[in-house]
Amino acid sequence: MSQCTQCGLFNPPLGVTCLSCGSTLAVPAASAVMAPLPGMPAGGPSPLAAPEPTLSPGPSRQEEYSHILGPVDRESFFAAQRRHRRATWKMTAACALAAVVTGLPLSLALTPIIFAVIVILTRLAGFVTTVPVEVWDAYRWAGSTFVRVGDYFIEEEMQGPAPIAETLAVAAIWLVPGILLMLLVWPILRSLFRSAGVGGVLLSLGARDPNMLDLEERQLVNVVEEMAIAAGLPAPRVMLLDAPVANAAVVGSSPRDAVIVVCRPLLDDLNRDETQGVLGHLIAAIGNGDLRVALSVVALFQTFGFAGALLRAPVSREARQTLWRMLRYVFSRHPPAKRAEEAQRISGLLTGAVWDLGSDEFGEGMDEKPVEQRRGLRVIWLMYLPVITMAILVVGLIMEWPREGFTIIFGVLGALALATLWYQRVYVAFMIRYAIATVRAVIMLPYYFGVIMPQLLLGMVIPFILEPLLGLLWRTRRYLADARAVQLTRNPDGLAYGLRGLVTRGGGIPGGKWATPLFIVCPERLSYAQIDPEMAEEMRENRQRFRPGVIGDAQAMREQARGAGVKMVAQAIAEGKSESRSYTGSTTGSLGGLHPPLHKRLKRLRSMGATAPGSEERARIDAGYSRRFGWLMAIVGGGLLTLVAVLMVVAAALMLAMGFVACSVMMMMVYGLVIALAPA
Amino acid sequence: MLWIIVGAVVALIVLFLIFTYNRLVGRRNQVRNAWGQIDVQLTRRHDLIPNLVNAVKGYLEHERGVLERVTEARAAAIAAGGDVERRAEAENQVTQALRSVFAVAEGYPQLRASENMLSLQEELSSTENRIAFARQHYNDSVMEYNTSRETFPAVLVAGALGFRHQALFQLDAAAPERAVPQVQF
Repeated sequence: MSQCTQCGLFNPPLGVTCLSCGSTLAVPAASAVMAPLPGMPAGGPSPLAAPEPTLSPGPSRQEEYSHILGPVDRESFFAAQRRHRRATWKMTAACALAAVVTGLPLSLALTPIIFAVIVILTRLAGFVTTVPVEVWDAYRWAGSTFVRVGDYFIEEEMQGPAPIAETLAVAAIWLVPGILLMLLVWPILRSLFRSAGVGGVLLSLGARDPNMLDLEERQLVNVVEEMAIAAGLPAPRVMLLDAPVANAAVVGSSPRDAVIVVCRPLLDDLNRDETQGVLGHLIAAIGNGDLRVALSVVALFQTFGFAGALLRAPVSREARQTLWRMLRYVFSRHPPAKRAEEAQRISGLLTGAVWDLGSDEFGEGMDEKPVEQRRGLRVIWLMYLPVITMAILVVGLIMEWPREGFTIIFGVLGALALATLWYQRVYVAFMIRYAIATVRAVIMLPYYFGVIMPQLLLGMVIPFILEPLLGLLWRTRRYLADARAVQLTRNPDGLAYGLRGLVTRGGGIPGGKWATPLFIVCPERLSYAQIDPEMAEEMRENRQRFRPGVIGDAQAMREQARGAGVKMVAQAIAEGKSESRSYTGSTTGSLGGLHPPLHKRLKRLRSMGATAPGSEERARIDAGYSRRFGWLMAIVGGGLLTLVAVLMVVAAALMLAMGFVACSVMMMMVYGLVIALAPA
Repeated sequence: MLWIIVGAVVALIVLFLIFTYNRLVGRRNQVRNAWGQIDVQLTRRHDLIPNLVNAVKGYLEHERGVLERVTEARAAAIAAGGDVERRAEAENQVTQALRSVFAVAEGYPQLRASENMLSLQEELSSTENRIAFARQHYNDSVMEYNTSRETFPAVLVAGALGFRHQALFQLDAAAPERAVPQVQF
């Protein structure tokens, strides 16, 4: 309720001009509400009462609320949580489906290899014990069924009734082993990297225990414990990171071993209520099982990467090295920090291997630069050697040369040939390598295609289907955690101002892109500078503060990061540039990013009673764009998108078909192996 | 055929009973744990009070009465033990007494600036928060428990399985927290 200074009328809360005289209303500064209450419980929990909207802090500029036509739609935090939880279930199902679809081409290619290994092992077992004849019969049956179904579809052009049962059997034979392998590898990888936890390497960046003599840090520990009590969880460990940016993250794999990592500047920048809101979000994330979700998603990508590395092992040195490194990691006995680093590096290699084809040995030696022949004796004359030999033989026989004559002539010729080869040995070696590479490439060709196609397909499916879905899931989980944080703190403004404060301070992510999903905010993709003068000013000020010269330890952080083998964005952070895109390595990111944009989060918090002003301008501009250019965007953008989508589907179908053919050639080779190895 | 249908129905009912029972037990234990948590935090406050008294004793020579009130309230709260009503009353006394200590301490700049006092103040206010949050968690748990106990399919069997209604933790109506502040113009 604001009183007009001109005529004294009490106006409704959201108005900016007086209803009676039209003069601009004076409104209290928004920050007035946020004054910390010393010694008082924040938010004064009154559990069952819905949060009462505080009306006093109005807009700070005239236009601020001008586009809001009515009161904000209210939603209790219980209702919000129910809604977001339902959305989460749906998206989890969609993600699971997408993951299965992504895994199918991989399993198509994996299965022939599994079968080949099984067949060879059966043969080897035959040397030790007697393998029942039925086993080989089963192999032969599977192979011949495969051929029959293939014949039906390819050669006879689908004449006669379709062999439905047999086709199904072939599909099962072809898909199930690969799927089973991946389903088996997934939990194994999950538990393997569990010890490192999600983002464990963050701790190796120099996270330290809080100093209990420092009042701020002590307060932080208290706030964490309070929030844990409010959520009914064991209090997680708190660690501080002396990074130049303000942010906070939760790492670990379960509520029991969760660690909350807070960048020290956060304590200076936020007051107790804001800190409480931010930590409430993190504790809520722990309680909602976000760590488990993150771990599962990472393990999913690791599984795909593992399958890819397995497929490429015969043709790629890198893949072999990755697998070897993984094996060493399994049996290594390093201290946890070092293990976490190694796990992170292997995880990076695996997830990188999903579609990064890297260098492989296919055609290695063929693309080598040809070696020049040396001057003098050219190898080329050896080509004429047979002709020369024949000529000498004919001439010698006609002229009835003595035996010694032939010996001398052929001795000289042979010596000359050997001398030529020796003289041109570099060139000869090159030719031999080239020949071997060619032969190997020809032999490997079907295998190579069988391996490359699913991976190319993955390269299309993952960034355009799986990752956006995962991003959507993660963003919904952020909203869920926000709503839960409001339930825990009963103070929506604490979180709202906390988020706002962190984002305007750049929201940099220490420790590299891969850690992005774990943090509470990420650098906003859109520059607020063009939109919201107030926020832009704040951001400019903060940028001044984050000059490398001021921070000083950016170099140290870079060093540490390099030591940890992490691609570092510290430089960008230190120089005050926020990242333009918000994705982490190959596991995440893409369309829309992993964090909801600030204005959407604030909007939801406002509907739960927060009064924080924020990016209404952003929303207004969005709305304006969609009003003015909406139809144009819809036609042009929609048309383009449809075109791209159709092209991609066609490309994917082509790839799938080629991969299909290549994989079936592999299956045929396995059948050949069965016939060759089976005892008569 | 009939037997299969009957068997399926029985199996469904048994499954429903198992799930309902387990869910209710889980929620009830959560409620109990939340109740225990309140007690833990109250005890924590009791442990902090002697520290506070020691820290401010030197400065508040002339305010002995305030400190004595805190000590007495604490003793009364400990003596109340498991008696919920008397305990709640005594704890409210402790809260009041503590507030008056801090109010009085505001008048002593030296004390206010003292590192020790600041950290004690933080500890005590954090403890107040914890008590409040523990109550909140208790009430949230109770609400969840009561809701799942009283919603449709479960309500048919919850009583028979021995799940009783749980009461919310409410502040005494006479407690100062509930008093309506008097605003005078």
